[in-house]
Amino acid sequence: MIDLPALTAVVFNRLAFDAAGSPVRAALGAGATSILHAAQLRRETLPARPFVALRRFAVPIRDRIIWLPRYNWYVYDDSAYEYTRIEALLPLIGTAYDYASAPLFLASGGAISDVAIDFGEQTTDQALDMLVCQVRLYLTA
Amino acid sequence: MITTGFETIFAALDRIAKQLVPDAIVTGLDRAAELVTASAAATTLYGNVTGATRAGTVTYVATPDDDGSDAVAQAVRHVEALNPGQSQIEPIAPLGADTYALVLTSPTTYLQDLITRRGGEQDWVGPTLEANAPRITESVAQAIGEVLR
Repeated sequence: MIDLPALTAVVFNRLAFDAAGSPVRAALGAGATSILHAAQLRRETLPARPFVALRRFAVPIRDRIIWLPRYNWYVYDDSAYEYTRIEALLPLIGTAYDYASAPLFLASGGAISDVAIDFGEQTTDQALDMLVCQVRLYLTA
Repeated sequence: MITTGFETIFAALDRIAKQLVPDAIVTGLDRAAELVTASAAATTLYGNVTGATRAGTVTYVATPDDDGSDAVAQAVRHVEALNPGQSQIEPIAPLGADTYALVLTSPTTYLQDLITRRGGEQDWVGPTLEANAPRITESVAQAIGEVLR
């Protein structure tokens, strides 16, 4: 059985700490401190914009086989910047997870065998009153 | 000695490919739609202010010949009954030939916001489909197997 906390940490750390994520950190409001877990979006004070937040979604399991775990990075910015900075971040995040050049590794389970990526539409988060786009990562472990 | 003309064999294969298997795919997806709807209805992520999102939850099969508009229209009626004026239909992209889709939605004006806010805190659409992906696949495979036996 795959170690989901470890997998989530690998995905998160790719942007927060790994060299492959340095272009992303450079484009964020305050580097690594602008990288959150989605649960932290309920904090009263959010980091410097633009910032990103990670959420892991449902992982279907059947016959002990882990199907595609999906992770979403939510890329946030203030409306004053429209989607300019968000749009610039999307491909940087995608490149950070490029399987060919920078594969992800789980200490307990070797390499992630594939990462498919797509970008969501331009939309808004009315709860936070901010612009947001998604980067969706589909992992095969 | 029994002989069968190739024409007969080809006709049978053609029928399998163009009718039996596509019909089986739709059958399998229809069965899966019931599972998905039940799974979605059990979520605790609905806002539960008016109950319209839950009541309007619908899972339908879209094919090149059927865009599921009847199912969506029924869901719209459920939404309107509980939250008048807040129904909204988001049409899906036209499907290509030999393409079938299982669509889960709730036709409200606030669905997009509901599933996006605070980093997807209340997103039940994608996770419901993902959690049921193995069962959807198995349902279609089983239906195809039934017609090929």
